[in-house]
Amino acid sequence: MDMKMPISAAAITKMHAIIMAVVIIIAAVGASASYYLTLRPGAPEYIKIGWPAPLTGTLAGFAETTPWMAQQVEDYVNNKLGGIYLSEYGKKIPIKIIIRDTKSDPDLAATIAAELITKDNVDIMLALYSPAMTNPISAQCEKYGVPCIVSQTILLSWLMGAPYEWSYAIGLAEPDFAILFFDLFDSMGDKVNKKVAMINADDPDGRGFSESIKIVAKARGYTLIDAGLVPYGAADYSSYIYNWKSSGADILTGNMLFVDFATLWRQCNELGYKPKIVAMSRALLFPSWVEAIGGELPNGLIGYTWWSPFHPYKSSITGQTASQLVEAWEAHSGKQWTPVLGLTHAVLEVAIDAVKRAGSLDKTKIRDALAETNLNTIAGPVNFKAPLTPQQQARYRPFENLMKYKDHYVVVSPVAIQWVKGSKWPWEMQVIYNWESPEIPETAKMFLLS
Amino acid sequence: MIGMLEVIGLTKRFGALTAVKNVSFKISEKEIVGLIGPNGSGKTTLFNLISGFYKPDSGKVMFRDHEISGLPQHKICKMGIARTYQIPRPFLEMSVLENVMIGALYGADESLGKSRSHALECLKFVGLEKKKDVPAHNLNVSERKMLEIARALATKPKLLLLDEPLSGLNPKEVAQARELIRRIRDDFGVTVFWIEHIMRALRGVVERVIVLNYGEKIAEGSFEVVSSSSKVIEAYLGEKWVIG
Amino acid sequence: MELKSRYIYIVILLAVLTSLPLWVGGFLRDALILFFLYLAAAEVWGFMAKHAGIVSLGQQIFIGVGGYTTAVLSMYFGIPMYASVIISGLLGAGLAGLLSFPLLRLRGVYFAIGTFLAAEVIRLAFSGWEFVGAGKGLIFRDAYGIPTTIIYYPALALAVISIFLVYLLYHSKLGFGLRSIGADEDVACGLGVNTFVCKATCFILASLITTLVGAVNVIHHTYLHPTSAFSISWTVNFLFVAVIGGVGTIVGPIIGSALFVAFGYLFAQYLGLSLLLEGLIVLAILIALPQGVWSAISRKLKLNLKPPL
Ligand SMILES: Nc1ncnc2c1ncn2[C@@H]1O[C@H](COP(=O)(O)OP(=O)(O)OP(=O)(O)O)[C@@H](O)[C@H]1O
Ligand SMILES: [Mg+2]
Repeated sequence: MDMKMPISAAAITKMHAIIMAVVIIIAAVGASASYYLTLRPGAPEYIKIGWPAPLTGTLAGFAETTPWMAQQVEDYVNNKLGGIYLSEYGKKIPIKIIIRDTKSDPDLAATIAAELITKDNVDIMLALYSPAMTNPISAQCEKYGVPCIVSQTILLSWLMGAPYEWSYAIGLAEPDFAILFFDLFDSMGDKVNKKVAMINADDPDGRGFSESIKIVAKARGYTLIDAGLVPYGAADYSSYIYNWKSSGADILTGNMLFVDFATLWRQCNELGYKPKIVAMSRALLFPSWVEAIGGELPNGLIGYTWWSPFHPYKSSITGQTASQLVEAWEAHSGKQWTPVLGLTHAVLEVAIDAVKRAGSLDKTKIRDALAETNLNTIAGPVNFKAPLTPQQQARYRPFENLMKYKDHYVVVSPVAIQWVKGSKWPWEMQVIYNWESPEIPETAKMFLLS
Repeated sequence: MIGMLEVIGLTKRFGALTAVKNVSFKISEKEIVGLIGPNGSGKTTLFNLISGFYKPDSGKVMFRDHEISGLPQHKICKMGIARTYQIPRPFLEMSVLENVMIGALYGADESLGKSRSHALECLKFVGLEKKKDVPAHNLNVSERKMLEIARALATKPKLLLLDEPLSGLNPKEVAQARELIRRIRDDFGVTVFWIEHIMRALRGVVERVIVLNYGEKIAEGSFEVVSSSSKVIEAYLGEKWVIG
Repeated sequence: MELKSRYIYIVILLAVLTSLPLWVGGFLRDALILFFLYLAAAEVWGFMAKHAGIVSLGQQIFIGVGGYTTAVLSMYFGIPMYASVIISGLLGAGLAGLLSFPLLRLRGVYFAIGTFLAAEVIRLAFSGWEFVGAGKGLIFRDAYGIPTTIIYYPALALAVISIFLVYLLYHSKLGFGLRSIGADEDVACGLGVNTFVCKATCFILASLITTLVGAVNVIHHTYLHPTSAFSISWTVNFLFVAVIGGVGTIVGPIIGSALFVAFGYLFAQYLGLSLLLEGLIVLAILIALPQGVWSAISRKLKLNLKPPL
């Protein structure tokens, strides 16, 4: 305070009153809130599953099915099954799935995860949809000691935070994609030459893909005509395209944003570059992205998926098959299914299974049960203790974290798909190569573009 | 006499317009010098060149035998040149006292405590001490003019540049202000360079007058000599009344 | 009444705040940490904007630099975490000093745009920098073990320091200089104010606080991602906190930050609508009380507080 300028007596008394009021309010709110929040008598009302999801923002496409899926499962478990039996309390307890919007912001995802843990006292957490979401959420779970199921993410990125004590992932392994594509190319024999045109986005995904392709291509005797890493939003790819054309590359591959790939593929068409195989990572995951390319151009483009209605699995909760789940979603939303649907359901299966086996809401017991998971889900078998296959071991050996922490993840094997004109939707994917998952039917025979 | 300010061949152009053209003159210590000229003749621009707000296109400004052209404004102020603005520019949200304290704190490099008493003295000198705690935006035009002067004085200048300090004042205030300007020199020993649009207001106070027209110096000398110069009368054609 | 009794109240308030984590629940502790962090950054942002006329839209630079430096130094270089926080503060202040040279020559909206662009450039640099995890982000494992009962204290300290800094700054010689610059930069310069040095000092101090906020935030959130660490939404949030409460006042951001944190939690359950609801409420407040909540209260109660309270 400025000593030379005394303030009126009235102002001072008011000041006193205000400061007093503030102190009392803080004390009262603090005391009552902490009493209320720590109060937990007898059997719990709910089994609480926390689910911070990017409902808005750049990742919103991934979480499109989240609220619906949560509602479906919650209704089924509570109404049809009467809850989950917990042996510790000797009765069935309903589940409550608490979804919060992270707005696709990693920092907000951490805030919200902490809120779900400290305020809503969730018993188990789900963290899905790209490293930007899974990493901050599972970091909070590690910090507070809450079991966390991570999915729909790239394992190498997630494992940067290893070792984990509380988090278990059902994820995708980067080294798989390049091998999947080259196994597919190899299966073509003499029908395509061994020249591969390549282009990648200048971002971590593009860089990672480029590195693995270079290694595999060299090992298998392919020649790469590499356009290098290109920034987002390039308007003109003609110099790369002429180069590919003149070198006669039969295969085009890479990892780009779908908008950039759409531009590239349109220009290839205009400039008369006609590769026999176009196998793209990332750009061809979602049907809406494929449609955005326009015209007949998407026909025959090749990508991969980790889930489809053709996968011969069913839900351990509802008994729905993959194709029934797809039908239910399409009937509810009027929108075409996306590969995200499967894992979005599978994480709930794994969460409920772990709580059921724990028979308790003690977080350590749930975590220990989670570690012992051995469940056939709608996205395939989940068993964190199962060893890697010999092929996986060979592929993952260069990646220390994948080898070291294999008890904390299972890999969902991708299969190669080809986009063709559909009956129900403009473009539908067909499984053309089941790779290391013989149980998944190949629904169509691959065709070459020219 | 000791030289205070020397301007040598000063030129300033704005695009095609030459606002100040090859102007040279000298001002000695403790002089009061008037600067007159018709509208747009480059008076304010000349002040802006001396105070460092503009850099000259050619020529230079010497202050007590040091070249100051090219130096930043705050350095020139600290060396001892303060100015007022034709249209007053008080710090509107700050009190009158705080306005003047800025000059004392920075221009004269004083401490907070010292600057407060010094600023009060300056306010007393211009007759604004009763308004010291009033926010500057509450002042009327003549009070703002006085605030300009007090604020400039608080920087402890050796040379004070006054840009039309009398405009907007009523006749009684004009008389007081003329007296005030004389006292600035007599009491504080400050050299005064004084722009006036109305020439007769200078009579009896200034030692010398410099006349600008279209950016050029067209006359220089005592008030009587300058005011009867045919060149000056011609420049003011149609505005004869202002000559006095 | 004696002025001293006010200090007694401040001491009581501080005593209550210091003992709070011992008896409030985990969630409230979390909320209070956010409250303090936003408060600390918004106080200095509001002071800069209102009094010195330095409207920065790039304070996220320092949130990010504070976070990354703290995490990298303690994880990769084995420096104790508290020392990493302090070093990050110094680094942030140094960076602010360097950025002053190109940026503070710009005025008004050009400065605002300049700071935003600088933040974007730094964000892009971090997005491609493998050493700090590039676009994959950085998980700050070492901070898992630090409970909120401990993080609470540096957050509280930052808020208190920030408030005192703003108070002292306002009444200091530098504060006078800054206020004159905020009012009319050319006139200030003509009165001997070295405007560049004053503005740079202010920018450095504010950025020092903001960097420390970023450092404490990363210990709390244990994760960094270039898009959110260097996101404009940080500065926009500081702006909201300052403006809702009453920009340029000390009490204003306290109210603003409390409202901001409360809104965040309150609206999070309205899935997909939370942004919209928050925006509407803020808009409503600003239309009803353009000077902010605190200015309205103090006018209503005729408190006649001297600035910058
Ligand atoms: N910043 C500027 N940019 C362009 N032209 C300018 C600038 N400042 C002044 N001028 C022009 O330079 C000329 C001289 O202006 P200046 O203000 O110096 O005249 P003045 O003698 O002070 O006039 P007044 O008696 O009206 O105050 C005018 O024609 C004016 O329009
Ligand atoms: Mg003028």
